[in-house]
Amino acid sequence: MNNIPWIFMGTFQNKDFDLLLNNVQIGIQNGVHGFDTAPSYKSEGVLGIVLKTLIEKGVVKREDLFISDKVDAWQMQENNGEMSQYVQDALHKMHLDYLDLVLVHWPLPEYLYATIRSLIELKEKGLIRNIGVCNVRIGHLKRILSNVGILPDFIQNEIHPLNNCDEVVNWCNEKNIKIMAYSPLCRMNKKLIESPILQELSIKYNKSIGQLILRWHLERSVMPVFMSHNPKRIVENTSIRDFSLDKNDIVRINAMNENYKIFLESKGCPGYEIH
Amino acid sequence: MKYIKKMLHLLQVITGNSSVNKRICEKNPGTFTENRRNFDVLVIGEMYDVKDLIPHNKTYLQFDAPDRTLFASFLILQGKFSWLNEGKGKCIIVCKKNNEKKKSVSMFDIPFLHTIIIHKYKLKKQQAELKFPLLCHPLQICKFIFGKKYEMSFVEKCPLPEIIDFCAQRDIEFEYRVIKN
Ligand SMILES: NC(=O)c1ccc[n+]([C@@H]2O[C@H](COP(=O)([O-])OP(=O)(O)OC[C@H]3O[C@@H](n4cnc5c(N)ncnc54)[C@H](OP(=O)(O)O)[C@@H]3O)[C@@H](O)[C@H]2O)c1
Repeated sequence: MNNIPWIFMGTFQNKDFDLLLNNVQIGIQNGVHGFDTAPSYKSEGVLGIVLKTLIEKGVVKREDLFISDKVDAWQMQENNGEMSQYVQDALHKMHLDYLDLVLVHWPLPEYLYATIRSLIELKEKGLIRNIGVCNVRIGHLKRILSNVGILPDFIQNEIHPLNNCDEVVNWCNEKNIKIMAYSPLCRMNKKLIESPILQELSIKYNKSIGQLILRWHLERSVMPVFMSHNPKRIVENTSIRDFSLDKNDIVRINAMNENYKIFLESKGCPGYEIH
Repeated sequence: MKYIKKMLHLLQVITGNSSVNKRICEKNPGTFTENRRNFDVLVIGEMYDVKDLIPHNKTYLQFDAPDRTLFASFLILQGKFSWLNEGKGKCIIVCKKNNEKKKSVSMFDIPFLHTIIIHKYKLKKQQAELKFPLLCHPLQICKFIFGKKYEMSFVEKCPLPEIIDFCAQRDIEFEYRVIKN
C-alpha cells in the first residue's frame, strides 16, 4: 500500500476516448495517479484503453497508477456475491493484470458479506490489491468486521461540506482505513458557490471555491475523487498542495454540514442500514 | 431486435401509452432533478388527499397510485426513505382495507422500485405492462388520471410487523392509515 494517491479523477458519465485521453494525461502531468471507474459508468473499457495508450507512450508506468473499480449491486445479486467472473472480465476489458482497488458499490444487506469474502479470495490470488466499500456508515464496517473478520482497506462515500460525514471520517482515520470522497465538490451546488463563508475564504487564501473545498478534504485526510471534462479545471483542482487551511477555517467549513446528499442511500441500496 | 424495439416505441407513442407512462413515471422524483432533501414526511400508498395529514409547515413527498397494496408500499419505502430527514422523519402508509393482505405489485409501483427488487420479486410482467398502461389496465388508468383522491382514513396497527421494525431500525416515525372500503 505504498502508492496511495492523494487525489483521484472519476469517470462517471465520461466515456469519450479522445476527451478522456486528454484529461487523464493532463491529470497525470499534474500529479494525479488515481483513477476511479465502475461497471455502471460504462467507462471501464475506455479508461483501460486510455491508460494502456499512456503507458505505451511512456507518459506513465503501470506501477505508478492506482486504478479503482467497483462491483455493482446487480452483479452482487446475479451471482450471490461471487465476484470472480466480473473482476476477471473487468481486468480483461481494462487490459490489466490486477486492480489496485475494488470497491463494493452499495452495501446491499443480503449480499455484502459474501461479496467481501469473494473479494478477499481475489486479493489472495493477487488479482486485486485492496478491498473497499462505498456508501457506508460505521455500523456497516463493524458488521463487516464481525461477520467476515476484516475491515476494508478503503471506503468511498459522498463527502463534501454539505455532507461532511464527520463520524465515519473520524472513525476510519482512527482505524487507518483510507477514505475517498466522491462528489467532493457536491457537483458545485449553488449553496457552495453562494456560500459567504467560502467566498470569504476564497479571498483570504486567493484560491477558487473548488480549490478550497478540495484542500479541506486533504486537511481531513480524505482523498477527493473529482470529475471534470474541462482541462483548465483539472489543473485548477490539482493545484492545491501549495497552501493549507487554518484549523478554525476547517471547523467553519465543517459547520456547513446539512446532511445534503446527491446520491440518496436507499435509492442506490434498498433497505440501506443507517446504524 | 433494434427494429422491433423501434416499432414497439412507435406503437407506444401512436396509442397514447407513452404519455400515460410518462405521467406515471414523473411521480418519481430524480435525485438530479429534485434539489430538495430532508423531507419531514413521506406518504406512500393509495391515492389520498394529504391536506389533513401534513401540518402546513412540514415538507412532504407523496408516492400514490390506485389500489397500491401494503406490500408494494413497503417495497417502495425501502428505496425511498432516504428522502426523509434522518432521525426526524415520518412515514405514513395509506392503504385500502382490502389491499392490506395482498402480496402483489402493480405496474404503477415499478418506477419507484430498484432493479434489485424488480429482479428479486420477478416483476418483468409488470415492467412490460408499464410500457402499454392504457392497453393493459384501462380502468386503473382512468382511476389514476380522473379518480377522486380519498379523504378519510383511520390510524390502525400495521398488519405487517416488518414495516414497524424497518422504521424503528431507521429512526423513522411510522403511521399506518386504513381506508375502509
Ligand atoms: N461510489 C459511488 O457511489 C459514486 C457515486 C457518484 C460518483 N462517484 C465517483 O466520483 C466521481 C466524481 O463525482 P461527481 O462528478 O458526482 O462530483 P464532483 O467532482 O463533485 O462534480 C463534478 C462536477 O463539478 C464540476 N467541477 C469540477 N471541478 C470544478 C471546479 N473547480 N469549479 C467548478 N466546477 C467544477 C464539473 O464540471 P466540468 O466537467 O464542466 O468541469 C462537474 O459537472 C465520479 O466520476 C465517480 O468516479 C462515485
